[in-house]
Amino acid sequence: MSLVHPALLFMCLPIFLIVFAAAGRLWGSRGALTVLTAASLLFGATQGIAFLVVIVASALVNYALLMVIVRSDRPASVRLALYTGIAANIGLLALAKYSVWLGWIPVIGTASLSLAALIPTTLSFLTFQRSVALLDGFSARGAVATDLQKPRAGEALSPANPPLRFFAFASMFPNLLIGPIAYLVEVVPQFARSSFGRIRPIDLSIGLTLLAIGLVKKFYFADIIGRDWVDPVFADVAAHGATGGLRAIEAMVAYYVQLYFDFSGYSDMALGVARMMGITLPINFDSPSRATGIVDFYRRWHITLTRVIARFLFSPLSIAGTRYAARKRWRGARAQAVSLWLPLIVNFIVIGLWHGPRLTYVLFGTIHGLWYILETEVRGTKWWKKRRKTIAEPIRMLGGMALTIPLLILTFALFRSATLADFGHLLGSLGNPAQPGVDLPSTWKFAQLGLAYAIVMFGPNAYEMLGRYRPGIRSYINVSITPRLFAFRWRPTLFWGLLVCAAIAAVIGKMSAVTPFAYQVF
Amino acid sequence: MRAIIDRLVSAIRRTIYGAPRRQGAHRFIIAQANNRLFLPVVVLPVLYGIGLCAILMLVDPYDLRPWGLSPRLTRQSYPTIEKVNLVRVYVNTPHDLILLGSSTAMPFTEEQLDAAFGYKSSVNLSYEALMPPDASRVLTAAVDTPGLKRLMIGIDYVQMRADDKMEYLGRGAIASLTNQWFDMPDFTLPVVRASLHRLKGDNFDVPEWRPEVDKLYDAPAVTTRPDIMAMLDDSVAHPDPAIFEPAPVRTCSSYPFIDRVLLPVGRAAMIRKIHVDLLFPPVPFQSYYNWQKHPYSQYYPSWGTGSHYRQLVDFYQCVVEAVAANGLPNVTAHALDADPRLTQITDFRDTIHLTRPDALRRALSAIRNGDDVVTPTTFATYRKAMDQGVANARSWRWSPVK
Repeated sequence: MSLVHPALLFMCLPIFLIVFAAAGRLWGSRGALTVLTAASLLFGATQGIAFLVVIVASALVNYALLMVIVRSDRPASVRLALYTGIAANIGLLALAKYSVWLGWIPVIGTASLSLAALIPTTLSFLTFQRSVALLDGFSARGAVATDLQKPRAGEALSPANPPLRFFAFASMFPNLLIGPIAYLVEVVPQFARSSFGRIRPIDLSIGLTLLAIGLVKKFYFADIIGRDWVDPVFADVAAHGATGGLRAIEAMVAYYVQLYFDFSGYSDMALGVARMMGITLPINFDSPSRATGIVDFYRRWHITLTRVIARFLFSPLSIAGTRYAARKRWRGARAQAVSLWLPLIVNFIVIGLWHGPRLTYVLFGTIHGLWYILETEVRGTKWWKKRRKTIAEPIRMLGGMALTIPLLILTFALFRSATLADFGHLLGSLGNPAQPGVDLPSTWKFAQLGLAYAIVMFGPNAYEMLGRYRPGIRSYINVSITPRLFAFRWRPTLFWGLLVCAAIAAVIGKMSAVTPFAYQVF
Repeated sequence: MRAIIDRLVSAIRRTIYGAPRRQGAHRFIIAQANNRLFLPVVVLPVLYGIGLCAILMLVDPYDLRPWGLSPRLTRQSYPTIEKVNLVRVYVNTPHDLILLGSSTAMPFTEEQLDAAFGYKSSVNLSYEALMPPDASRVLTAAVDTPGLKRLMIGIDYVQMRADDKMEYLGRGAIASLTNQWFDMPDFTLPVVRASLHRLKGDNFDVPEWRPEVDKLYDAPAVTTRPDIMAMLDDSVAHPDPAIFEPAPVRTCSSYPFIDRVLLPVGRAAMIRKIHVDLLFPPVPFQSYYNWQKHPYSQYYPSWGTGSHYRQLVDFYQCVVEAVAANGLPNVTAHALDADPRLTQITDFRDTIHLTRPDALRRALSAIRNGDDVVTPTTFATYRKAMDQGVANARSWRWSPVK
């Protein structure tokens, strides 16, 4: 079950909200958290009993280790608990996800294949969220301890049971499967609020709006674009090693925007459902199609993964590299290589590999890493610093977008290809003649793709529209470049109510055919 | 007038862009825009969705949940997509006969099947482009149908595929068998309306499905379509020479249908004492010229070189020999495609689909009487009849009636 299932949206979610509110009213935040945890476990059970067992066992292990991290006075124990927890989480993820590569190892291979067969659902997001919780506990012990520890002697008892807060955080159903990956320090303080468990009309309004936006993105854009433009072409290339030239271009252009609508649609829904309970999750997408470069792109695309990797992988590697270069008294390119380039490449290869055991992902990550290095270096040159002042900002931005978007389209086509050979065949097909009657979809379909691009290029994103009401936690401040004409601002009024009402009504007619989200397999 | 326009613009700006309220803005619109009617309005479609969901959860028309009302289906009234969604219901309720094949088997009505074999609860589950992977799943489930006496399997060139490809309906049929309680392919307005009928004690049915079903059975003959007839005429008059060339050799093990579908299903049916009829559907002999000249088919794009109809006959030979070699006395193959009573082009709605009711009845009668049974020992005769039929069709010409 996922957030687009009618059974969840129109049966489970309303019942859950009623019970959640009733429990909140009767037993305060502890009651509400108990209901949230129970509902999340039931939601997990719909992914299979094996999935449920694994997420519960993993949550117990992570809680025990987190408690050691925040309570222990011995630094060695704290470090041991942290490393054990991260190793256990990454190990579990590797076993479940990389069976293709681990299959040859005698015992581990068998375990990996069995686990992969038992748990088809992705564990990537939840294991990352839990690992990050341990790191949060390590790096912000004081703050985490306040929210999670049992009170010391003489202190007042918190209204919510501390372990319950962790379990609610670790298994919270809106972002359990496909993120956004939230930090412990972002969510648990919200559980600790005295008002937690009360459903407010404004939260419901914001939540329903985000939910409606996400549903429209999924059913009216991602699914249709995938069905009409992308899937048949990539299937053609996989089966026959070639396709028509025009079809290849269309599929590449369409996939980039399909993936955006699919994944950002889920993120919107996750934020919307969480907001209905009064929980604000971090924003995952911020108009990435308007990125003016790769650096800007990663501040706008899958933000919660970028920030986790940047904080917990890139920064330590970069600091270590800088220290090493300083120790060796290296300067110039050598120092830059160990303090910036190498950490960046590792950072992006890990991002690529996080998606799964495919060489296309590794190459995707490597290309983005090299691109990131190149862009960082160019932006750091004196020539560019001088030059950028002479170019008007709108032209600079447009130029950046014109350079960035085609390259993103190309690299995401690599990302979508099952093998490097398939990607080669797709590129090879670009020179093929058009197939009459097959290459040119109807005008209506072109209009749909055009509309999709118009929305991502010019339309306001959900978080800009709802900005007045703080719909999500912002990790990066990106300058909005939405044209003034389209800079709509949502308010809980009749006008916006009618729009959201129409969106939900339109989506209801499409919900009988639920297709999995692209990121459900990563 | 200008003042009114200004006030309106100001109100709209405030509504859409959240601009600050200006003095003198249109009061009525401002009031509408700012009143807190958001939630009551948005809750309406949510309540509508809850209502649909509640009806479906109560009735459970596709038998996906442990609860729900017992199925009550109307005979001969479901469009293909609905029938595919109902596969689980059909295989979980007692039936005497199940027919499963591709589009060539779809036109047989349940009444015709009952009348031909003297049964009371036959069902035709055929759908377009039944392919080996979905055929395997659906037939395996069909063999377990309570009270099943006879299983008829339509086999045509789509079953020659060697890959795992499935079409939309095939995926739907598998989904029908594997869906869980929370999956809701039934979340459509016609299904909800049919479920409401069921809730009132009637059958699971809505009148709007009828025309779609009728289109399948009341299709006009292909001879009324000059474009297709002209194409056939051209294919026969100027045949692709390859039609008379030998077919390239393909081993029987290269047809996954035989090992993965036919033999396991045949064995399971033998254990349950179910008779299995394999139907090689009738096709006008003229159409083989057309296949040869215009070989593109999205369902079987792998004809390659050599005679296409001979490739099909070779496949059928593999089927017949596999049945005999594996000792399946309950399985009988019927070569309807060599029967001149069933291959008259006037009985077809297009180049391959036999649709005239009397011709369909003749086909069922031939199956019942075993007129066209083919075995390894009689296969050479069947092959000769096919060659003869194709050769004889060479003299056919279409004369449009002015």
